[in-house]
Amino acid sequence: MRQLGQLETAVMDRLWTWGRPVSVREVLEDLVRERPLAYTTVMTVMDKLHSKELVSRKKDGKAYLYAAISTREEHTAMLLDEVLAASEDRSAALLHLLDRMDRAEVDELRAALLDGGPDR
Amino acid sequence: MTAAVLLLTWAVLAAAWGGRLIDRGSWQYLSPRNGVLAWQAVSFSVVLAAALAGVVLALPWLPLETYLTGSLGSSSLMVIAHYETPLGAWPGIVGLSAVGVCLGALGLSVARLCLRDRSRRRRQRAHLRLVGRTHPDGFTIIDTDVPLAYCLPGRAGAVVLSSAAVDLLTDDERRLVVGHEHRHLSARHHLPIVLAEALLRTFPAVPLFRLAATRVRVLVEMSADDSASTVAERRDLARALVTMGAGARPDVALGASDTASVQRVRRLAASPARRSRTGLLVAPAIGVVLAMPIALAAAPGIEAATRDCCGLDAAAVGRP
Repeated sequence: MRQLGQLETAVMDRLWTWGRPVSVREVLEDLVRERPLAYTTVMTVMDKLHSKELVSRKKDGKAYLYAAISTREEHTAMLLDEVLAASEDRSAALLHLLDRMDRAEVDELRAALLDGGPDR
Repeated sequence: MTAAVLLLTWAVLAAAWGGRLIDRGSWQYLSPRNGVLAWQAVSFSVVLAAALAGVVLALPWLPLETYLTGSLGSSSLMVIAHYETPLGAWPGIVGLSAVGVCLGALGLSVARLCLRDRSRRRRQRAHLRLVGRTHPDGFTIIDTDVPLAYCLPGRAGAVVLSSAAVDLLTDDERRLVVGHEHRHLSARHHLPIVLAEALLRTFPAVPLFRLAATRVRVLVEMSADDSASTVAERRDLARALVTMGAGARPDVALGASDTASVQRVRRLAASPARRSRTGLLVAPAIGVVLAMPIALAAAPGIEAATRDCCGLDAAAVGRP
């Protein structure tokens, strides 16, 4: 299961780097440089990514061509939205380092810390 | 009847003024872990007292008689009789139902929050697996120009820093920030937050629960800050907090501007982590706060048991 997860990441990495629709064969040929893999394994992974709506696929002759639906940056943006949402509704889904600080407060604190002495 | 009145009085007093009592002085910020325990103890005491008030009202009408007389002897019937109310069974029925509804709502609220958080974390992990890179120091990096540091609690806990945060911080500062997040994970800081939040959502009008939800959040952060122990480390972490606070872009700011962050920086800069002397008093105080509802619930029973025993003895002695 964990291996499948890592494979999904590896496949998405390649789709993002190439930025064009590719066949399972192409992905496999690149992946086997790092580790031995069966065609069916890669096909299963691609199928799973498709059902998770991470990749689109269209028929090209006999084979399917796969492409990433969103860019890596879009995924990062979605992740940031999640972080933001969790912070807004006071959820404990994640604990973030600190809330926003006022610009004036930051300047004052920074000055105090740079002095090296006690700030009170 | 007396027990129920005493318990409700205790619950109301603690709910109204317990929070202000904890807020007196600043000992909770000297030992934030004890502070969290204090808030939890007073909150739990209020819930327990209210629940026991319902139970003692219903005590004379619960089918306990055969069980109690079997195990404690027939005098327990007289003890139970001391819990009877002049209004018959109704206060017991109403009391128990109210307690059932309240505890049910609280349980539901905890469950809902936990489920929501779990699905949030699952989505986070799915995204992180795709766009995150593993750093040799044991955390995940995501590429973005927003300075961020957070952790995902739970069994598969993870610490996440953004590339902007890694760029802004020195190696020492980064190590301390990661240490802060790891402290959150190992101390399971999300649990007190969920409990306090569930109490607040179920009983939003209770001043104690409102204060507790706010304080517990700050206290767990301070508690994690204390993973930095030496004076130098604490100043480094303070500097890291200011750097991160300054770098946050307003459009993606987390939460509203909050004095708690400033308070934390001042606390880190001012002193090394030290034990508060009041820390020694916290354990007994928490003991009293938790024992109080049980003592109040048992009071009429104990009083009756001692008096009835003495009464029986006196009668036996008085007989020729």
